[in-house]
Amino acid sequence: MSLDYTYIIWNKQKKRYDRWIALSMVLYLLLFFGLSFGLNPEMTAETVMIRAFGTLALLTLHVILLIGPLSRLNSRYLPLLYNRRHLGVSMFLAAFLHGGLSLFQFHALSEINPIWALFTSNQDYGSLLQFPFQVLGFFALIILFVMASTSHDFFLKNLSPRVWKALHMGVYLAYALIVLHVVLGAFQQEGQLLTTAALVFGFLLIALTHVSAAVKEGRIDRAKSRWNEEGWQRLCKPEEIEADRAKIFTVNQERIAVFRHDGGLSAVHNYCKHQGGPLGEGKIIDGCITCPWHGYQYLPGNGQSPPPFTEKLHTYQLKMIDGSVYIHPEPLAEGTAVDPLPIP
Amino acid sequence: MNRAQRKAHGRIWGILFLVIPLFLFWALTPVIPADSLTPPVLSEVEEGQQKIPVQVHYDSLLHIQVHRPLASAATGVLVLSDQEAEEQLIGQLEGTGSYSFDLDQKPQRVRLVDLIKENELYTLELK
Repeated sequence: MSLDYTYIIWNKQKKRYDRWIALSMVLYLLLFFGLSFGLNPEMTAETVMIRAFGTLALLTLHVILLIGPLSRLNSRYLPLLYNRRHLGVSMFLAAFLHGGLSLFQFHALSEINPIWALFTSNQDYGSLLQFPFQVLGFFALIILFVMASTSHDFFLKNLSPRVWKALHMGVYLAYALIVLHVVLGAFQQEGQLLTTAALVFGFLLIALTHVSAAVKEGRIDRAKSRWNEEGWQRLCKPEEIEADRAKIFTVNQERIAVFRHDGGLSAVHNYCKHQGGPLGEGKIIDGCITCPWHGYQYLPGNGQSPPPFTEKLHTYQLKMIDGSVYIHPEPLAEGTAVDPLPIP
Repeated sequence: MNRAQRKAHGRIWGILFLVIPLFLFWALTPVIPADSLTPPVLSEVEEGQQKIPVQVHYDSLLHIQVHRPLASAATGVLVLSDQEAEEQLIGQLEGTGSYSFDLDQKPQRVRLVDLIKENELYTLELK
């Protein structure tokens, strides 16, 4: 968390992570160049560069799409989620180089405006298999550009988390456009089945991890609930929650995190105000609920970020009935103080 | 994520999980356009010892798909139609890729010829 905006709030982990991104990308490019020229010495350097940056962007996009569900399935992947935006910007740069080099190579050497040429050189818009695939890549690149250029917390704060999140869900449309771009391109250029097969594998991997994560999440939503006559919902026994950790429950179709701290229990909305991270998967650090995604913090007793920060969460009332923890399903106003429920 | 975002994610991925496999299935399966008068023909152009897969079909445009580089430096595309007594040179193939030629009517015959050596590489009679 930070009160002012700096380009990047560097820390040791971020530096290490970015070094890994840079190193992996350079290694991939070197490997691609080596294999391409080794297997087909007649290929031109321009073609190899276009393909190298294109495949690098595609591979990185797959990794980005896998990070979300993987970190829901296993908390070991959370550090990747913490730094996902850097990977996204790196992916955009690779895609931009791929698009820029392609535009120069195929459309910039005539008197026609290259962008206009991109849209008009193949006008088979009515055909399925001969559809101008470069146009699809162009629109995907525009989406990636919008996302990369608004990835900073400055835009998150000023656009509002809701609008920002909706904007960044554009990655799914970009992914669909890129799949079409690659498959049609491979088919029209050389009829390469290998490229399509790699895409199928990538899609299956993404689909499998997302479905697995959805099944895991669905268990929380489908957990059977019990209410008493006064409308309080039973959650669990207090000993089921580890110290300085939380358990997540679905109450009125919303996720609630119940934290155990300092010998008591506190319940807050499980939705971080920063980017919607699952607070219940975080832990209590320095007396504060700490979001596992980007480290935003809240006081468990009132759901407020410690001063001078201003973020606030809905809090909930808890009570103990016959040794079980019950919650009142109506959320209290954001930042309302609730005394922790003492654990006997 | 809150409830609305979880729903939006679920819907988006639901659509992607339907659309992308359908598209991939369609892309992996040879598709014959509904208005095609001639189904795609996969043939092999004889170039010395080398055989190059070429795909040709007509659906108001004459489409020629060359899957591997041709050895011929100047490969001409000649077509014979009902209205013409002689073959017409309609263009050249310069390498791998997809070529489309705008023809008023379906040609009777398509020939690929090496324009320098003046030998025939491939002939397709379109019924």
